[in-house]
Amino acid sequence: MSEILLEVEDLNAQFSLENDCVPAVNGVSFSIAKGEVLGIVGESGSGKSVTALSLLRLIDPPGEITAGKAMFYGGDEPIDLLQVSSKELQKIAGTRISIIFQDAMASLNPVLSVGFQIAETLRVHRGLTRKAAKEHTIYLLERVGIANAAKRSGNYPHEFSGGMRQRVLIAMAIACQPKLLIADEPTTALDVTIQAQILSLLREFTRDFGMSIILISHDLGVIAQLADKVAVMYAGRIVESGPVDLIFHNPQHPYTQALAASIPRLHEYPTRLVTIEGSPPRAGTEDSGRCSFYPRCSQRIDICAEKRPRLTKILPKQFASCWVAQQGALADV
Amino acid sequence: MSDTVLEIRDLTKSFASRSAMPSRTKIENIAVNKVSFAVSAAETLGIVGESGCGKSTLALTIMRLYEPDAGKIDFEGIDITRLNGRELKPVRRNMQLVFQDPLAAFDPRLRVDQIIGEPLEIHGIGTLRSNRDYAASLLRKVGLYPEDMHRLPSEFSGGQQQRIGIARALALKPRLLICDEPVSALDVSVQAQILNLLRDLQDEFGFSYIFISHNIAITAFMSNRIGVMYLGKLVEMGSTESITKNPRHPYTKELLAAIPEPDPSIRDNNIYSKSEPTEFEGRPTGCVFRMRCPIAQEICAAEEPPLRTIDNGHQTACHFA
Repeated sequence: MSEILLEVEDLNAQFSLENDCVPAVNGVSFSIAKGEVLGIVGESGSGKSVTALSLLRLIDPPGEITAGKAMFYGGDEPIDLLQVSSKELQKIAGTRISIIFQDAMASLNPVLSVGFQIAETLRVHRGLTRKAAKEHTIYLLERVGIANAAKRSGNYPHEFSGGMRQRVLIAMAIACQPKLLIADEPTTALDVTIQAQILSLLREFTRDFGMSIILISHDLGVIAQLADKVAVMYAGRIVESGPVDLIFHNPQHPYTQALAASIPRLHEYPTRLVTIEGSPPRAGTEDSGRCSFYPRCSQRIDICAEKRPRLTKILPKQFASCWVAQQGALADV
Repeated sequence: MSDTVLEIRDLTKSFASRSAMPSRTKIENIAVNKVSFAVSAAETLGIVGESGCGKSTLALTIMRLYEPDAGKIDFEGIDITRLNGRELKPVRRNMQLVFQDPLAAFDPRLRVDQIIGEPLEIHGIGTLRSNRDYAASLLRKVGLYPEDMHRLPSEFSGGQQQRIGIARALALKPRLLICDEPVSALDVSVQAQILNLLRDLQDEFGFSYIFISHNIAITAFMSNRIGVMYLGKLVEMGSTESITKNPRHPYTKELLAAIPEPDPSIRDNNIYSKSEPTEFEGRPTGCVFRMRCPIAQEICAAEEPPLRTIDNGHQTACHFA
């Protein structure tokens, strides 16, 4: 189980503007094992997408990766994704690592049939003949639950519904049986019933192919349903990480605690919800030296304003960057 | 019932479009199909459903921003279905909308005090100065600072913008506030603030809400009763507790089962349907949900199930419920 597939160390990314540089990701480290689903949860501007995009060096100028290491062990030999040549990276992206985004329409070419687009992946990366690629495309479309796959493969993206387009994208992403799938808000644009289908599909692929997933979402429900372990991001940093059960049932960072308590649950009928004061900081607002959650934290103490806490082991397997938790004084929310 | 604020009966709204080349035949898409319900004073009625089910069209039709094709809208005892623009003006004062994207609903060049003051100006209420004071008090009510009055909406965060939108909707002291996905564009940590605010304001002013959302858990938190829409039809309606605990319609059951529980110890592996939301062109026959329904029988294609009361005001439109 614990064979490491990807190990990210001290990833830093920033956006350099004219007279200013805005840090987007700050010292992010995590690892993911084979067949494991890592959920990265965070709000807008927390740096979760930049983290994911950085792994395939997909952030465009003025964004840049300024430091870090991302060792990928899913190839023939270990490589650092942040250091390899673009040509090397291109070979890995699409075969060993795939990525899917929220907006499936934007990832598909509107003037090519979906069958052609999936087959193209197979021909380029796996060197299949036109005919073999076509056959395999139909298999893949069936695999992701598209009825009438042979006929549908000749259709264009606009002829599919949102959920089906996302499934086409998944078919394309798994075409080369990647070791790692990066899924950036894969179900956010979809209706709940369709979301449930996509989530079970992803779960199936981790089980059947031993594929690992980095699942990025703002939705705690989606994370709870799919992830094995979770990293919670806030203001460009991981503030808590650990196995999914512990993160949800025994959170060790006041932000995680409050976030979990603030979402309405179906069978509870409270008259008020727990709230977090204020709003998340805009990307890159640097709180020189203090804890980034300090202004919104209900449990802050003096030291939080003076020194930034590091991500520290609080419980076996569970890490949090919080002075209060480190002192074992965290209250229940 | 004297405390009924709004009552709609068989409200219907359709949009005409043309099919693709070459036939170009005219198609009538029914967005809201014979929907009936009533909203009492100080009550919150939640409307849930997936994209395209007609929930937003319903809101705009009730507001008379769309012309209804058929049916009747009674607002505070007055039939407003066919009122003209001038006759509608005093009615509109009492029904206001809060949108999903507040920034898109504001004039970007107006300052906050102008945004909040505009409805007062339109209805000829107050003086410039008294309205400015009033705007300041409203800002305080929604958790903003009166000092922010002279800033532009774009200078605020998403949550603050939604607060401004709420303040504007409250300015005329409406009897009914229709909120169309008011927190969907907000960060999770900000959603709870806005939801609490909406409930506090209702406690203080005693108006009614129609709360429209695709998120059932959020709707359940807000609402006394919930109506479930599918393809333009109200397929089930009842108290929040009875809808969430004891859903009768197969669609409501499916919708509830699909919600990802924010709890890793409750993982649903296989309760999901393989079906896609169907799209009808023209008038559907029989039950609107039958193409997706796991228990559909012949009768469902032949006969449209009426919305009938089962118990305690719980209504459902299913032959087998």
